[in-house]
Amino acid sequence: MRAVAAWTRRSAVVWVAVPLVALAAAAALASPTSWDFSFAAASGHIESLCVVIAPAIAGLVAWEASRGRRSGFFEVEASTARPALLVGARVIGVGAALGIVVYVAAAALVAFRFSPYGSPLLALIALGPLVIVAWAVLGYAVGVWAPHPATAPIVAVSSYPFLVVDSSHSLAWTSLLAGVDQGCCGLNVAPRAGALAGQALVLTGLIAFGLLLIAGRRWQRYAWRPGGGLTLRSVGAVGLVAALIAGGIGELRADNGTLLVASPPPSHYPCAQAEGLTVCVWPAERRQLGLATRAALVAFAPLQGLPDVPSRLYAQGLLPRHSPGRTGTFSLPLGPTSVQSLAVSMVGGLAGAVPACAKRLPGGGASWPGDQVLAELQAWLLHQVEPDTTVEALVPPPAQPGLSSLLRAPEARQRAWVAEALRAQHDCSLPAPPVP
Amino acid sequence: MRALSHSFGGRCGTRRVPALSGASFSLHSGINALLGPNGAGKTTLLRLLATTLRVQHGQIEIGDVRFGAESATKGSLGQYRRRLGYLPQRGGYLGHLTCEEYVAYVAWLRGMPGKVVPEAASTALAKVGLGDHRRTKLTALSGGMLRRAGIAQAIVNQPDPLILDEPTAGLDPEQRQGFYEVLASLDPSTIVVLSTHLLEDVEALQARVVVLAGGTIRFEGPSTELAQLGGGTGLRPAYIKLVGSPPSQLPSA
Repeated sequence: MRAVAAWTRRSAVVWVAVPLVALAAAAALASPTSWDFSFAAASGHIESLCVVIAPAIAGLVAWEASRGRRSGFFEVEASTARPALLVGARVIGVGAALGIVVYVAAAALVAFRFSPYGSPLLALIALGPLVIVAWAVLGYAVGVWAPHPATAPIVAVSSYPFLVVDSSHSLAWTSLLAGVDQGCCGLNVAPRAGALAGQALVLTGLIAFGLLLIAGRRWQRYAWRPGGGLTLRSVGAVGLVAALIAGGIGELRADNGTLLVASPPPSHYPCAQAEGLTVCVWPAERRQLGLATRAALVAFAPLQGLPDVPSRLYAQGLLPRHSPGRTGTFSLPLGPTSVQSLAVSMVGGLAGAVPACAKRLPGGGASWPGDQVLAELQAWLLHQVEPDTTVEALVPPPAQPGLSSLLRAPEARQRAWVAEALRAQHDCSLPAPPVP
Repeated sequence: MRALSHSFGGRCGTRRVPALSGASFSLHSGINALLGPNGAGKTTLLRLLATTLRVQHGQIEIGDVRFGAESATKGSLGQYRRRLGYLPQRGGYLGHLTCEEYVAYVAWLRGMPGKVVPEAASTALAKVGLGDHRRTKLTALSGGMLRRAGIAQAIVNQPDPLILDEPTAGLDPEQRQGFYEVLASLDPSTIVVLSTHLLEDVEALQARVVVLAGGTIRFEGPSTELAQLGGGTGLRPAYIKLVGSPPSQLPSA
């Protein structure tokens, strides 16, 4: 440990750490203008922080690997008992540890900003450390083989455009070869499990390739055993590297290379049931399922028995084609929300949509018989959720007396009118029921 | 060592340059000095012993370890490398480390347990007279002090064998005397193999001598025997007789 501590103290880690932290923080705090404002999309952003971190670590490790060799210390090192990979592991470990710490800190920063907006895609975020380790190993291997003072800056500077260019390549599967997925993700779009596995395999293959190069440097100059054993080991190691990378590419190219796919069928989504109501959300909204269910109870439990009141509710975009029972959709805000405001939003969705049978008006409007009582209907629905709100203020002045009269009528009479009014919102052949 | 041959080059149409040609000799406990002019094959021989060059032809057997081109390795090469101490002819320093960190790092590379490394490093530095420079960076040392730091790393693990390639190069007479004392403090059963251009080193150390020239062994035996070969008038006439040219002279102090 003392040797590792001394190495850490005397290495360039400290010099690289400061600018790297600043760069990563700037990248983590970058404006999310180009991404969907959700934690799922932010997960892709977290993973793409590797574009900044990995080249710096590769350059750092290449520097550490090459300066020992430039001084001729390799001659001493080669006569010692520690295996080349163990000696390299210490340098790679220190560099990769720095990269991973910065990555985790930057990820925490992004997570802190986006935690109210759904759930993270942990499998995608977990690829980041693998990317950093892979580039650290490759950087060390380059430093070992090309111990020139210019090696480290060349490694760092050339890695950056490589990662950027590769990850933005138009062909989907090639864009993921470097392990960074810049275009990922959204509420309804997540990486296919096979694609993640493929990336992990390719990265593991790159790590194995780097380790082979590192070990090969000693073998090349200092190998002991006569050719046979060495050749056998070399062939085995090269075969393993090739198998890992080929397997990874195979996974990435599956499904014709379509890597970003919509999430599984709605039947696979997280759902909750309460008092005859079923509420389903996107996987990224799992944490908000409880809140959505409570809001649905507030909104729809008093309305059960009325026509078109759904018994199954799906978050936006999730509505299945064939679903048992009456179905409805609701919009689950990605930002912080409350049961009450969500319930208001849910009941608001019951009335107000323009029916397909409506008569289109010049200028973009639409008209159907039921729309004559739409304001009163919406106000009544809101009153069920928020009885303390003065809903009369929400309707035009000519309709206010009628609404007041409706709210004073017996409950059975109110519900009968609402049932008719709801039907008239979808069936243009029905007249608007007169307000009691 | 049996029939050791080694050559460099020969790849991609380059000329193959032989460095050793069928060298066979025995190493004994105590100090074994390789004498010879530049290009005689001394460094190649030491690098083969230090396991930093692959044996192309022949075989080396030292203690319970045997390795070579034609035969399988006998014994543990890892164990051999743990016991080994090696000072290369050039370089081998990590300028960004302090003397103590450098020697401790080599001790770690040699496979020494972490607990004993700090004390071993301090002891080795004290032996070579760098006890007061433990915290000095190698880049701040003079040439002679740097060479002593190199010797400290080579002896940190109480090695057997200890391989030193021109250890006295760059040392002034006083430092050289100190180096002789370091060697004298080693366990008498330790096999020390060193190369030198200086007959004075051989005389001072009363070493067993192996004279190399043109990649072949010209003489192997005690220094007294070598002196007799020259008519008993010292090592120099014998050396000239064997090699054909005079050895390097000590710089005037």
